[in-house]
Amino acid sequence: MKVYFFGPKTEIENYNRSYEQIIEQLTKAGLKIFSKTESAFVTPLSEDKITEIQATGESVLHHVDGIVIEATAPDSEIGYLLAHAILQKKPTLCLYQKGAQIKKTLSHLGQKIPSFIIVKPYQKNDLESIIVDYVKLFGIDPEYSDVPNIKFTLRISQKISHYLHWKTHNTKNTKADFLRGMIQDIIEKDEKYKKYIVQSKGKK
Amino acid sequence: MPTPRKKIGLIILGGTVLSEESSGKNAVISKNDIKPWLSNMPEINIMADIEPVFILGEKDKEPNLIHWKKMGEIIADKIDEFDGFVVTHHVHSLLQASCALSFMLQNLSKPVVFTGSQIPLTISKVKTSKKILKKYKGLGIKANLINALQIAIQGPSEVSIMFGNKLVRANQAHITKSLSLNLFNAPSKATLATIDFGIKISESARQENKGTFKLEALFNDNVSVANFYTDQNAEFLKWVFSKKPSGVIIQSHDIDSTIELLNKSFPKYSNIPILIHTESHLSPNTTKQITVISNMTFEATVMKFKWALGQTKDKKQIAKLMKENAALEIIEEGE
Repeated sequence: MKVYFFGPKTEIENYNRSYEQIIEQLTKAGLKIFSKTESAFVTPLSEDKITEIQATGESVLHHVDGIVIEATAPDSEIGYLLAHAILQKKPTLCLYQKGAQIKKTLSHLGQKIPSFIIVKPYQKNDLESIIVDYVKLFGIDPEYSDVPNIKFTLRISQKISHYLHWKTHNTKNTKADFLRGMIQDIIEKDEKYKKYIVQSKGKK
Repeated sequence: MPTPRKKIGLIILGGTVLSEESSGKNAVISKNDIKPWLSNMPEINIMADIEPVFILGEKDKEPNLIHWKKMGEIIADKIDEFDGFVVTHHVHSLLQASCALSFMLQNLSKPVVFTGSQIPLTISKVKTSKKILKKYKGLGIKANLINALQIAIQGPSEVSIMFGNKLVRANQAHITKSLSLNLFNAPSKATLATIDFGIKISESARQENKGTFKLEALFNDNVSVANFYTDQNAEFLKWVFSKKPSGVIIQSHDIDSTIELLNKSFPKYSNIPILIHTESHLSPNTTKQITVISNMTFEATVMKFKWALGQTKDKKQIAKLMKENAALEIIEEGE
């Protein structure tokens, strides 16, 4: 799933760290992030792709599945993005910290906020669970969701630990990321498991 | 501290069809339709406080200079009250309307953005139309209006046209020949913004403030426009001049023959300002009698001529005004 993240540039020095944390969490939830905010987790959109979209007359927003906005700092682009999100019925997560005006802004809608728009106050430690709820908006079955929200204790040998350390040292991945990636690969190649999922879904 | 909400004037002269699918009030036909029409787009209220002003409905006759002058007067009257203006307009005459406004509103300090819907009120239900509408989602006004409102909120402060993902300077714009969401195009320096994930204002849109805003709404509409083809002759020109116009515009590719014919056949009409509009950039210079224009769009030339004739009766002064850049309408060489 492709998601556009927007964080206002107003007072960016106060919010940059939060923007990075949100982008990182969204990436960990298995989403592909496009953004004007600089981050190692952002997927750059090629000039060729932009030119191709521009020729059609469409907004690039048509080409993402959802929108995430950090709406604490005021910016006219927040209202603009929300208007497009409602028009295009895009699953949208609107995050804010204390003192934000976003609820007041949304009250001008004059009706109930659509169910595909989630507006949530957040702190660093609850970001993960908020994003899990947001991912559900894409219709991903939480039972088989890619979001790593289940804690799991795994005892490993010195040898494996040494290998994991060597493998992930000086990379952007943690040991957990590496293991998750390996298991994902196994799942994707396991035809028997895929068949089992389809069959068990059919029985429900 | 809370940020004050922007206040945008929404002037309606047609071009309001929401989409082919909308039920209920799909367009503004009369003033009473505005409220239900706006209620189909509650999302625009998130962006700003919008105050609609009704001039013409969807079924009314095509807007003309009288309506455009009225629109100019409304904008001039409310220029301090609003942060910007969006004009919805029938697409057929949108270029002329926006050109007229660009000359009328001198030293504009607020954005005036034209937009509209490409879907006619009575769209046929034939297969081809359905196919086109399916292929080109967004021909209705909704997405255009959201983009236009954002331009009215953030600028640039000039008369522009917003369709699809492109904002263009009104008096340098031309209509695209093929069906596209980008209904209007312009030379690169007159492309004021593009839309990727948000509005991306281009460098050429950043103009320095030129002076105090003023409304120059005097136009002379008594202008004859003629397409001059090689096989047309003196009789045709005689007929054009017999209508006693205040000015004549001749569209011609063969400038030399046109000038020759005019000079030979009609010296007695020398009091009438004559303009030749050509797309050929290697056209001869303006003569004492005739002004040749090759660096403006046809729509801008017509509107500027009507505007110049409204400002003065002095032929020399009119020729001078036509050559000067009054509202950034002159297309730079190489564009």
